[in-house]
Order: sequence, then structure tokens, then C-alpha cells
Amino acid sequence: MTAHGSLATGGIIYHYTDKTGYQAIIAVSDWNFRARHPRHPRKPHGAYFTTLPPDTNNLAERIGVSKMKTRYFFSFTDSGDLHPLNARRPVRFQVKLYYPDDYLVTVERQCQHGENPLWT
Amino acid sequence: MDMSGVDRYFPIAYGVDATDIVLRACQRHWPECVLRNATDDEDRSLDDPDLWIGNSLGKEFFVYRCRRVAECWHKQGAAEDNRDSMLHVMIAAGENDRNRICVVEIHDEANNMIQKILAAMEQGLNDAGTVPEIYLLAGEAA
Repeated sequence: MTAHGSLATGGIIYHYTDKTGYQAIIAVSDWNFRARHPRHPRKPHGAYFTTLPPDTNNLAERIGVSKMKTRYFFSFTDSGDLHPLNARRPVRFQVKLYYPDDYLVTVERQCQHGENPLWT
Repeated sequence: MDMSGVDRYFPIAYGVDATDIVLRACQRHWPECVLRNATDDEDRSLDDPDLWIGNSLGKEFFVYRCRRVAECWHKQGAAEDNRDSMLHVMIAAGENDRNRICVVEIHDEANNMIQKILAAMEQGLNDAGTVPEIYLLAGEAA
């Protein structure tokens, strides 16, 4: 498994969540994105991210999440240690990333967080 | 966030119009399907001639079983009751693509109709015999 390196557009990574998840993450200064077991048995255990920003058209469809889970977002600078979830895809379609454990983002790497302005 | 979806990969034979093959496979099994470019916010039915003639679909698009399902996806995103009704298609077959491949992300592997659509796509994408005659003639002339 290789880290994705230069896949991220502009070097910014995004994590989307609902209100409960958002409040839990911002409760501490360093953001801790918890690794989880996804429902699909062949999906890796981990914390999941994407290179797609909040203003992406059809965001929920493109990353395969419920609309509620795109209501709040976090963005942070990429440090090249995330893995592509769909490594066999052509690079331009590799927008989903994961880390196989809890993923800590220190204050220095944090960019923005809050309600997705385009969420309806 | 739990990202659903599992990829299927289909090599695209040289000269095959991948978008046309995907559209025909969907038309056969989901005759009321609607499509949407990944970068647009407009649903289009198979009656739209631009889909077929103008090749106006991009390299990444969604196919929904019917308009009602499309509206459900736009409103809810991935949900328990709509997983068997959408395909996420990504096509890499341009001049700069080293590997000609069609990626189809599905959200319900057990659904029979989806399996039939994928089988039809696989056959068409791999089969140079499905290429319209005009393409074969052009290839011979070159």
C-alpha cells in the first residue's frame, strides 16, 4: 500500500460529517478523526477523507455518503500519508482517501471547518 | 464518514465508444433511466438526442434507474433504500489515457439487474465487433 502523494488537489484534504460528528471533533484543539469499520466487508478499517471540496457538484454521489454526512466539513493540509481507497482507478478519479488508524490533525495543519455553505 | 460503493473495472477495446456502450446497456435494462454529469446539476433522459449524437456526457457521470430514484439520490445521497438504483461511471479513454478503462462504482453487489447491466457493459466494451462499421472502415483506411 502506498501513500497517495500528489493526488490531492492543491494539497488540501477534506473530511465530511454530520452535526454529532462535527461537535465531537471540534471539542479538542487537535482534530482526531476516528478510524471505523465500514459496513462493506472488503473496505479497509480506517478514517476516510476526500480531495473534493464542499462546493463540488453531486458531492454525496461522488463519494458515496448520505447527504447528512456532507453537512459539516473539515479541511487541512495534506502531508502525503493517506492512502487511495480506489487505487486501481485512473489517478484523476482517485478522490477517496483513508488512513488505517485514528488520524490526528494538529492545529498547524488545520485550514477550515464548519457548515457546508452549499448544503441543502 | 463511511463511503459506500465498490468498483468494477472493464478494459475498453480500441475503437469502442465506451459512452455509447454504457448508454445502450442501461437503456436495455433500465429503459427509464436518467443520467447526470458529475459536474452538472441537470438530469437527462435517454430521449435527449445530445446524449447519443453530441456525446455531451463527460468522462464521469451517474445513471439512475428512473427520475424518482434520481431525485431521491439528490436529496438523500446514499441511503439504504436507493443503493440498488444508481451507477457511477468513470471513463478513461482519451488521448492522454495510458490505460483505456471504464470504472463502474456500484452500491449493491447482490442486485440482479445491476449484474445484468455490468455484464452487458463488459461484453460491449471488450468486443471490437460491436464497433459501428464506420469506425472499422476508418481504422482500415488509416
